Amino acid sequence: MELGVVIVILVALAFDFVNGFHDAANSIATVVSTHVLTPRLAVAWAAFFNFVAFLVFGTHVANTIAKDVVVQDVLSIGVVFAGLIGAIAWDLITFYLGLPTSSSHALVGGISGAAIAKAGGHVLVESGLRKIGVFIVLSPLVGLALGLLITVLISWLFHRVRNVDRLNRGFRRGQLVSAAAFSLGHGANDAQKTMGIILAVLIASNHVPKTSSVPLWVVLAAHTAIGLGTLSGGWRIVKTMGSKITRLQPAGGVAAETAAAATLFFTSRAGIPVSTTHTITGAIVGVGAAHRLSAVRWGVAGRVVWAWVLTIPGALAISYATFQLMKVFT
Amino acid sequence: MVDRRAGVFLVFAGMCIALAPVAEPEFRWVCVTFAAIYVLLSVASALDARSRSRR
Repeated sequence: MELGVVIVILVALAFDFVNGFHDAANSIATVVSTHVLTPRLAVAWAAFFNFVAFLVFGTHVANTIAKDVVVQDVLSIGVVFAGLIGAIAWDLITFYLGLPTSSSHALVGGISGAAIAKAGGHVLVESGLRKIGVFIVLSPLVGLALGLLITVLISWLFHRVRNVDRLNRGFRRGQLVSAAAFSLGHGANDAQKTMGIILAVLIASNHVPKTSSVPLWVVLAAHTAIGLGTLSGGWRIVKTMGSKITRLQPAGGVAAETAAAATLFFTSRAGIPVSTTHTITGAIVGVGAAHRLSAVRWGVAGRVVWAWVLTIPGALAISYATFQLMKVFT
Repeated sequence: MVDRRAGVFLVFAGMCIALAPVAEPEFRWVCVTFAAIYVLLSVASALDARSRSRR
């Protein structure tokens, strides 16, 4: 395997690591904010379920990233490299600012920007980008509705229970399951994006045919990288997700994580790369809105929405500039 | 007074339904289903607000 391919694969795995560091904090935010697990145990719990996700889900999302964002003929080692640089740079900037933006959309923006720099706007795959674009808006709305409905269901089922402490203890245990489910969905959807990138570079360098599925070693490497990233933790964003949007009780944590996990399971099966951050944010807002709108700190939610809006253009611009710079120096 | 939460849910229903023509045919049902859910949530929220104001 050529050195360039190896370097791009390593950068892709580094992106996956940063993704785990940046996004996986969402998996544990509610568990930590409701004091169900200590931060250290919570990251280990999430990392484990991030890793085992490959046993449960297919690689539909990986195929979408590799084949449905830009036309395959434009993919080259340089395009994938510049795309990754754009996505990683955007992730790090927003991590520094403490904004829970989407690594997934940074990746889509990054690859699109580099491909446009190489060959122009016509290389974008309209149907694939439309699918991704629709679910940028839809995934938080689905998470919000499910989070609200599950909260209402829980209220109906348990409104006669007088011993609130005992109920809370039960939901604390329940959160272990719902957090595991969310981490599973996160591992499935986000690790697959890296698999897609590696598949793209393997196709571009003729190491695998265009019709190839994701090789097993790529699946294992991607899940390992995201698991290790999760273990490293990202506490700034835990703070934003866990307490600044709305204050969560254990029952709310279960509702939010279950809603987000259900959304991620569906999208992973359907091959739609969505943002785990969008999804859990929507679900947390849904839990808060079930009580009253004023339970949601809309200022923070609005700041998050702005970061979402800027992610694809931001990563696109950085990767476009990176590819142009690479052209100057090569 | 119009319930603010009901209004927000109606806006969300509108967003879901607006996405339906743009979505791939295989995913249109998601848009339509969640638009319907938000309409129901809006009605439920308005009724909830009305019963609270009467108390």
